[in-house]
Amino acid sequence: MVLDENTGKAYCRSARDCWDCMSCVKACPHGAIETRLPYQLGYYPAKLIPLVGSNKISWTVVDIHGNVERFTFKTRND
Amino acid sequence: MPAKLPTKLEDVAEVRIETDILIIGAGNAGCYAAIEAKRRRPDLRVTLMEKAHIDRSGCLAAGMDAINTYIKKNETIESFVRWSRAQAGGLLREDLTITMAELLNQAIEEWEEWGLPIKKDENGEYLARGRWDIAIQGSEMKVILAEKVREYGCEVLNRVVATNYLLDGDRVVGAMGFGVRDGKFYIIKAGATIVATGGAAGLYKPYTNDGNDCHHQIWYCPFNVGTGYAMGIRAGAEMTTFEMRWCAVRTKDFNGPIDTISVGYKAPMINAKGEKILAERYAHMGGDAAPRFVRANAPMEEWLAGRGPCYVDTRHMTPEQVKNLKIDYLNERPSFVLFLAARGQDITKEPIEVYGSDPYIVGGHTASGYWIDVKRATTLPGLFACGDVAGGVPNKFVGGCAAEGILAARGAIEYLESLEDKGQVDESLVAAEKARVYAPAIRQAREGDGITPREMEERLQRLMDEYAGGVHQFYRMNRERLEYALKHLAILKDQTKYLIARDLHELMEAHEVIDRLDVAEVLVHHLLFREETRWPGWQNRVDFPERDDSRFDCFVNSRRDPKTGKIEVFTRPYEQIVPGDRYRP
Ligand SMILES: Cc1cc2nc3c(=O)[nH]c(=O)nc-3n(C[C@H](O)[C@H](O)[C@H](O)COP(=O)(O)OP(=O)(O)OC[C@H]3O[C@@H](n4cnc5c(N)ncnc54)[C@H](O)[C@@H]3O)c2cc1C
Repeated sequence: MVLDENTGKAYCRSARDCWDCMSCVKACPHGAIETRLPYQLGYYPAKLIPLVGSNKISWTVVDIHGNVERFTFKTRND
Repeated sequence: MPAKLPTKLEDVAEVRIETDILIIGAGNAGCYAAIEAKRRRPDLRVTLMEKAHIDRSGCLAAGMDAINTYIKKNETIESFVRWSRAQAGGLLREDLTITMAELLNQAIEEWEEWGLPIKKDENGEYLARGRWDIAIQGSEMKVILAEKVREYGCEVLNRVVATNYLLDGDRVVGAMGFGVRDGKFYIIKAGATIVATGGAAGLYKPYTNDGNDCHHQIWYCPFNVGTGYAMGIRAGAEMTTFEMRWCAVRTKDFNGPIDTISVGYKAPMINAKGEKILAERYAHMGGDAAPRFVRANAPMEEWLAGRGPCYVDTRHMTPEQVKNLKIDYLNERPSFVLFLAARGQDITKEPIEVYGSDPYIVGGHTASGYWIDVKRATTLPGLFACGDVAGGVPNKFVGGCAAEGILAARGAIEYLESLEDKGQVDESLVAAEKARVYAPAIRQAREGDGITPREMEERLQRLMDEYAGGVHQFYRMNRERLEYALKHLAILKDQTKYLIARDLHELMEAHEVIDRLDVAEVLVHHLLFREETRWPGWQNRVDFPERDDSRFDCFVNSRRDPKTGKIEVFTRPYEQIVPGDRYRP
């Protein structure tokens, strides 16, 4: 991620070098980052969005047909 | 904001640090090494040098859903050695495997205490997922580990890329590198140095590669480019078993792990005709439990025989199992769940397609890396190695890399305590390294023309793919092709003087390709030397299709002469400690 000096916004400087590990998506305190798979791999428009809590995480996934699934699980022992 | 790229060497600021133990790479193994060093000797200064950020760097970035090596109650260190040995086609360092196995469980139990959730069965035991694997919820396991490193008082230099060792004769007395954000040149003098930079990805062209986006849609961490190997090669360290490449069956296109599905949910691998490939065609080699190289080779053979595509058959799974499978992936590779959504795929109706990955050099899965002793000392005095960068021990995985980190820290402390003098910094070597590091930036300022790291990286990857047994060649190679690869690697190495970098990130990429070239060259020498086929999916010499125990039941090692640049390849004998047939678990 780099900051664009003109807009004050961050962007992914080399999208083709992204591992799609989603670390930045999970770490962003504003939930402002979205991972999109390269079109060669997956069709438009699918989404996977995390909601990070202190000891757990919830993920919402929307597939290309609009089906929604949710998953919540523990990420740390109390 | 990242600093501007320097245009003159005189403009480069220097940072000089003196420490007791320097750890290069704050990944899985490096973090364990740091913690162990600090808790044994809290009075020592322990410094980690990390090219990314410790919180999410390395293989553990996205998390993990299993620990692949944990010794359960009904197993022993000996049974582990037997299994690992057979999986590796009979070739591993038994002394190293035993010393690692002694610490496997301790490392994982500690992680649990620090906060890593490990699943339990109805008896309160760790939930088994296969013979050695246990199931975890490791989404945040790296963050948890990084917190501990800081808590123990280790010093972390984030976003500093190591480029070469500091040498006093052949003794390692620290390392040099540069800041990707601050642009400064780092000279870190250390009593003992531990390298833990992981394996090498990006030597070969991935099949997902296209003109747009998918360049790094690969299985191994693409930011581990083999710098740890390259620094050792350049300094004359002995390396082992590079020819035992790690090629794996992964989910097709996405290149995601499949153990989750095949081990965790017992989904068999099938071909286009619906035949269970391993059970039906490889029963004599252990069927579903066949060594991993057999499993890597199997779908490729099916494709070649006209029976591809291949799948892991998930059609038997219940909705509950599918949900759990997706949670497993969300813990390890969340974007695989996105991939399924982007394909609109219901895996109870359509099985998941699999294919071979691009080849990697990974000492934690196969056995490539530094030749070390039981204390994890390399052949260079003062330098210790652990994790994917260390050789001789396949099937380390998460627990084994952590265990080796602990061992390397102990070795480093013992070495430090025996030292009579701290060694000298040779300023002429420092000046030469500084010039080498910033050369692509200076060239850009002076000439404004040359080769971009991306161009050279793609040239290298295509060369290796076509001539050194990449995935597009179904991992196959012969002497003539390997010799062609060597010839062009030499040209590429000579052309590195034309590399240009337009910002600090690109400067890092320039060094990544330089390092990959050094690793690739040694790799091709190893592939040429082993005139047999010991591991068909990993190392497939079509001109020598059989295993040849009379010549190659031994380790293939190499050493590059730092003065002449000549690479010498030779063998080391196998030493068996645990009795029994080495090809059977
Ligand atoms: C996708 C995937 C799934 C896996 N699944 C499992 C599993 O389920 N179970 C299991 O047991 N094992 C699994 N493994 C294996 C296991 O994760 C690795 O073997 C292990 O974590 C490697 O540890 P390491 O410390 O050697 O490397 P890493 O943890 O990758 O650490 C290397 C570190 O070195 C840094 N570095 C690299 N170059 C430089 C440089 N020049 N200067 C400074 N720093 C540098 C990197 O940024 C990184 O932080 C998996 C691996 C992958 C890639």
